[in-house]
Formats: sequence, structure tokens, C-alpha cells
Amino acid sequence: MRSRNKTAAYPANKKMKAIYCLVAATGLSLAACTRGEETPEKVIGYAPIYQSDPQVQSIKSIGPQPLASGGKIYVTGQDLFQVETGKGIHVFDIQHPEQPVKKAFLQIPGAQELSVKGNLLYSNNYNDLVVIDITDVQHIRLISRIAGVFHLSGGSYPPDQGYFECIDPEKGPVAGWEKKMLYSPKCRY
Amino acid sequence: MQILTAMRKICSLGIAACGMLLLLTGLCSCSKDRDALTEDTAGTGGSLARFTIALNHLYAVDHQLLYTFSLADARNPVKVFTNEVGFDVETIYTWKDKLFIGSGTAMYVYSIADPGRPSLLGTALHTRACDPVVANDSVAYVTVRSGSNCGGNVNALYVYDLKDVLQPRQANVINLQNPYGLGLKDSTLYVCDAAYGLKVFRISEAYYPLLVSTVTGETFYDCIPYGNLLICMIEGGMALYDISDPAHIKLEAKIRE
Repeated sequence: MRSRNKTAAYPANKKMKAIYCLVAATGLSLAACTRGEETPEKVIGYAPIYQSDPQVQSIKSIGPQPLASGGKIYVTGQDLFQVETGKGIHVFDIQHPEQPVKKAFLQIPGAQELSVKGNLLYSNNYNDLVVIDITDVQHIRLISRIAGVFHLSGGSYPPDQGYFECIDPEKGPVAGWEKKMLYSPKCRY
Repeated sequence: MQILTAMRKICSLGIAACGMLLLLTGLCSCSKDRDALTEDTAGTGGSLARFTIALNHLYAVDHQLLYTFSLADARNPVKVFTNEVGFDVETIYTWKDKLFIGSGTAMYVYSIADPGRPSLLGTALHTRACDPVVANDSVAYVTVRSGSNCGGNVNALYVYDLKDVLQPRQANVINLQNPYGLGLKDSTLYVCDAAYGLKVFRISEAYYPLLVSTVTGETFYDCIPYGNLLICMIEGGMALYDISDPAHIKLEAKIRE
């Protein structure tokens, strides 16, 4: 439970808020209210991505994208894959290893892992196992999904310490976290 | 008569030789990048992976559990078993009928002799650290790394004797700087020591890795030996090397964009 009071902290309320937050913090977690202290107007931190967000399950192939994070690698036949952690999978043709050719980007929100068997790619869409037909990497098809099977992503706390946007329980379960610019965030881990 | 018998013998030998040749060329996949003839085989991931496919099952680890999915109907996997492995589970690797799972506090060896039901064979505890594993019949190589997410203060390559797989025995420790993933092929072990380079060890004596070369200039996180190619995960992308001669590996290409 965290204080959601968005008004400035008046001296009379400040103490109550502090006690309330201390109890919440020791009771359950390391995450703490910002206790009415000065929170930064703008700071980079994590914000929750809700399972109910329509973008969360949007799986499709788009044109080649620039590599950003250089994530986990996988190879099969003449196809080389590199995960763009949290976003999807880059696909390369390495028939000529001295000149790899980037073929496509498979947008899979929350992706961290993959395996391939034949023309089927297995990955995670946050905590769901998804099976994708990659016979044509420019036109992939989602074949099946096992929802919520993993605990790889989401949860009650962001991946790193720092300020974060508080979870709104009314928005349902958290699928994952994204790093972005936060404005006067009320929570801290 | 004798000449006829001799000729028959030569013919038989010739036919046998032809037969052998046909058999060999039929079995040999020959292309350096293909491991098998069918399309339905699984590919190869790096040592940092949490997913792996073996024995027609998909094995996946999150931070605590090992999930086993049957791929009998590959398009519709079915979860058939869950094992409680431990805490801070990081990686999974397969070799024949075994799974090697790395966590922040231990390496676990599981049997998948019954592929739908992994069972714990042995555990090797070590100081708190992140640890990918690669292994074969008799030896496992594990890197341990200090750092904020991993805790501890050890950076090293641990070598485990697996002859008694129920009790993996630490056979050797080689100090490193900031090691991440590893790759194993024949008698060469490739260790990614981040900004300190890709370290190439000869492991003809499995428990006594011998450093033969270091590739610097990049930050190396993981690598997959793939035929004569070594595919490396580096900062910002990938690097591909020709490893036909492991003592003198040659850069093929870098992918950063």
C-alpha cells in the first residue's frame, strides 16, 4: 500500500504519511513512498506495462530495425537471431558469414528468450509462451500461446532500484516494466 | 578358375567400397552450417539462454522453476512438468540426456533420460555469483562473476569433474576478470570475459584449460560455436569469427546496426 496523495505535504500530514509509509515498507517490501519529500519533476525510471494494454500482445514482423541492446543470440540453419531485449528479435541471413544480411524484425513485446525447431520459433511475450511460424520471416503468424506460464517479467517491483511510477491496481496485472521519463514519480525502490 | 575367383573377390571389394562411399556421402551433411538433414531439428542458443530444446521438449527456466513442455505437437506445446530448482536461476544448457542449470548459488545437473520429467542428479554449490554452464560427458565449465545483480566478489572459470555426476567435484579454478558466457567445441573452450576479451582455451586435458589466445577490442558476453563459425554476442551487436584454426581465429564480420 502506498500513499497516493498527490497534494503537497502539509506539516500535519507529513508525519502520518511517514509512519504509514514506514509500516508499508517494513511490512512487505523495500519499495517506499517518497514520503512527501521533494520528488524530482523529471527523472528516468521504470513505469509498469499493464497486461490489459492492447500493444502488449501485438506480435508481427516489421522491416529491419537498428540494433540497440545486443541481446541473446541463437542460430539455426542459415538464420541468426539476436534478441532486442523487451522488444523482439532481429533476424539475419548468414549464408555468407562475411556479409550478414538483416532480413526482418519480429516485434514480440517483452521478448527475452527464443528457441527454434523447424519453422517454429518459441519465445516469451512477457510471461506468455508464444509459438510463431517463421516460414516467411516477413509475414510471421502467431500459432499458439500459453498465457502466464512464466515468472520472467512484471511483478510488483521494477528491475532496478530508483524512482518508479506506482502500480495502479485498477489497471490489472503488470506484464513488464519499461524505462522512460517519469514526471514526479511517487514511488521508489 | 583362380583368376575368376580373384576377379569375384575384387568385384566384391569394389562393391563394398562403393557402398561405403555412398553411405558416407549420404550421412555427411557437408555444409558447414547445417547439423542435420531434416528441417525439424532445433537450433542452438548461447550459454546465457533460459530456453532450450532437446529430446522433442522445450525446457525453460525463470528465476526459480524449470518448466518442461512437450513438443509432440510442436505447434501446440503442452506443459508436462515443473521442477522447483532453487533461487536466482539464470541459465540452462543441454548435453545428451542431461540439463545443466546455472543459478546465483549453484550449478544443478538434471537427468532428462525421461524427457518429460527432469530429475535432479547432482548439485555443485559455489559462492554467490551469476553462472552460465557448458558441459559434456565428463566435465562442466562454469563462469562465476561478481557484480551488483550477482553479488559476491569472485570472477573465475570453475571446472567440474562429472565422472560421478551425483557429486560434481570442483577440479580447477582459473581466475578471470568479468566473465559471462562460454562456448564449447571439441577441444576448445571459448570464454567471454567482457571488456577483457574473448579467451580461447585448449581443453585437450579437460580439467586443465590452457589459454592459447585472447581477442580484444570488443566486450564479449556470449558465443556459440557453429561449425567453423563462432557467433559472439558483443556490446551493441554481434561478431562472427572463423574458428577453423582455434589458435588463430579470424574476424568474418561485425554487426552493430
